[in-house]
Amino acid sequence: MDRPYMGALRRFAAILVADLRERSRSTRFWVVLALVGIATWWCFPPSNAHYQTVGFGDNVRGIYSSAWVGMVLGLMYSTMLSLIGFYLVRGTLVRDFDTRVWQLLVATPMTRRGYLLAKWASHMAVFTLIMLVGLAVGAVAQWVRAEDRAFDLFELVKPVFVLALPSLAVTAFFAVLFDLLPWLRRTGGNVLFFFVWIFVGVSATGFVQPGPATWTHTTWLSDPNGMALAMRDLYATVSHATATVKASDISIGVSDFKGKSIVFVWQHWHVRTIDLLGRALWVALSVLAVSALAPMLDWAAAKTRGAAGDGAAHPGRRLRWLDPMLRSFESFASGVLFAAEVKLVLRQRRAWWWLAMIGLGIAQLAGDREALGIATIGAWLVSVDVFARAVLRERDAGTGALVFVAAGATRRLLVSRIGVALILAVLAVGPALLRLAFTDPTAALALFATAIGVALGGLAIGVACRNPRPFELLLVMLSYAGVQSGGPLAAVAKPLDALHLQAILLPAFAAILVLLWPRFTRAR
Amino acid sequence: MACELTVESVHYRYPNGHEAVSGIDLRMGPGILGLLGPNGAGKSTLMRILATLSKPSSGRVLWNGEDIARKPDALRVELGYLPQDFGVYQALSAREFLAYLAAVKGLPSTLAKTRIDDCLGLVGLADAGDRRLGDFSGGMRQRVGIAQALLNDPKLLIVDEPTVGLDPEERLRFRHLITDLAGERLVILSTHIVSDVEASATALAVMAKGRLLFNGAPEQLVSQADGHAWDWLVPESRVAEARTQFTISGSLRRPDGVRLRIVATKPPSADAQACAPDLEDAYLWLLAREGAG
Repeated sequence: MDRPYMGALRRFAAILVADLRERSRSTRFWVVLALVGIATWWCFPPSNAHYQTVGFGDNVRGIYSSAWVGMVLGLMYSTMLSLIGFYLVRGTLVRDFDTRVWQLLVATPMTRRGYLLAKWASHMAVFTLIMLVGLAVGAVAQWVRAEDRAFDLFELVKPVFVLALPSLAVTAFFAVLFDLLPWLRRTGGNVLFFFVWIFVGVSATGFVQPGPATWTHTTWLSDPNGMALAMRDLYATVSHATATVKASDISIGVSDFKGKSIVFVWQHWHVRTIDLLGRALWVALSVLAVSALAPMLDWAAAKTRGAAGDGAAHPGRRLRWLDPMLRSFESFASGVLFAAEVKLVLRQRRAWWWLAMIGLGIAQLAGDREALGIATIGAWLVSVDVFARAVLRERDAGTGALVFVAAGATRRLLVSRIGVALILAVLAVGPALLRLAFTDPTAALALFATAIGVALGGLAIGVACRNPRPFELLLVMLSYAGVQSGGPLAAVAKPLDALHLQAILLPAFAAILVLLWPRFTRAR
Repeated sequence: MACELTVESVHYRYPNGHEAVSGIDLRMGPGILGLLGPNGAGKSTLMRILATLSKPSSGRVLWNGEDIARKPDALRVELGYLPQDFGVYQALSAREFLAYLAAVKGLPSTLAKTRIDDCLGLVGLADAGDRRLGDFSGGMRQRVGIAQALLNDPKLLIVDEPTVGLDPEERLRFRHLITDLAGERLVILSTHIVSDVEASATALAVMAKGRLLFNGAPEQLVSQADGHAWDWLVPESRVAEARTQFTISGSLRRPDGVRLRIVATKPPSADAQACAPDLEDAYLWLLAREGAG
């Protein structure tokens, strides 16, 4: 006799398996796994290398024991994979809605909660697979680096399980949530998640701030990334190895240093039961939060763009004022193309975008120099979808077969698309350019070059990756660095650095476009 | 006006090893070629090769003597293509969308304006040209697709499953349009709907499982089925059984039973009567005979 829960379990498993098959049968999935393997290997540099990826300060790290390798992987995955993983796994619900598979599923006894939990579990399964690849590479790295060849599987897996799993459970929840909310399904969500990730990461500070004396009773819940737990227990060991570091000196990511690294012994991580309960609570909260989204599933599924090829986006506003402005272009063929590209871009802009651009324009004109710099970055950031998706328009709208059978279409479209992207990138910072042209011509030149870099970079990375997400993520990360006067977008704060960088990037982007665009158009 | 398309031993193999087109040879001149075949026959793959969207794995396609894989623009300037699935830019009006595609095709601006008006008129959208495509029905979008294929007054017009999504009236209008367009140009009409081809094709090619089963005049195909079409009145209770035993090209419910149209070597029953085959019978007879049905 078949019990009701068995049926539900079978449906859950069927959705999960179908989702995993759909993902694992794409080349991108296996490329990502290979890249994870390479990146994991790079996390364990040899003893004579002048960088480290996880440690304290710039040059203090554990010897490559199973426990330390596991800790490195746990911290890297709980922080970095919780960011990048979101962009890897999201989109499965949107795919079901857009391809109308949802309409087939909704006519079955499947429950809404079961469906969402299966999607969440599918995200987790992908994360688990990635972590397994990482653990295998980590084990090999431990053997090859030969600092401590005593292999302890439990110590290797424990940090990954304790630190990364809850963190990724939260990311999987956000991937489900952002797929459900129509306005977060594309670029808007990709940008917003970066700030969510920052917020989640920053929340760690709140647990650490009280200081070591209060750790024992404030860190059991820890933060979603488990940073407070790791910092608490690592600091107890590392403070014996070197007195110069503080708990908050923990660094995750690349740290360059000169001279030799300082190593400490880390062969066992004692995790208290209450700590495990705290970590399990994050997983449970994620599951509950996903379950709580079930009532909005039907509403979310109704807000779909329809089947692939049914149009790239909403029709948007008519913007009749554009017609007379572009009329003079429409007297020659390339002008018609340019005018149509401009209309396509601007008509689909939402009201908030126009308001944001006006606000950022005023800030560029009236703000102090720091505000001016931030406003220029903001103007590019709110337009990120234009740069990231411009080259993907035919794919998104399903017009490739109409467009690319025309003689010379490849060249004509590339020229007009570059033109429109450049003009938008420059106009977005137009007020700042005007102002700087009179007060600081070098900064104006750097800003102009950076605008070209943003436009060409979006097109080039879109062509190379055939996906808007890498550029969206990159621009968001660079914007974050830029507002802190770092990175290639800080053209106003560091104009000479920006000019030097763009001198390298612009030819590279141009070369990518010229080389890959024709191949990209043939691949449709 | 030169208008000759030659397909020489074309094969197309997908990266997963599936051979969608297996050694097709065709020679086509002005007129309407109906390309028939069941779903999955390889028609759309062949259409994409002819439209320069895919390159054959081996073999070649010549347009007026030029290899289109080496010199795609030699064909593209004279090509109109309506794919099976296509999208539109919803933010643009039909006229703006056609102007955009005319510019992509390299039409001079003044000529483009005239052609856009002409093509919108041909597909019955003259009054809807300034409405945005986001507001169009599926059938109207399909007509926009047909209009864009005609923009450059193509010498080769390839239409892939063009009547899908059209209502009966639109379908009829399309058939008339295709008949009117033929003349000095070559129209390749790919479909699995025999009546679309029956109405207008001057030549016929039938594909199944990637192979070319027939190439010739429609009358030739019909004559092959002479003596193999049968009219058989059966009680309703025997229809299901008949379906499992014979290839049925049509059925008509009547008060005294169901009149079945059957294609078979021998009469399905002593009381079945021979009848003159039509194109549908001949097509099904060919597929059944070749084991491709």
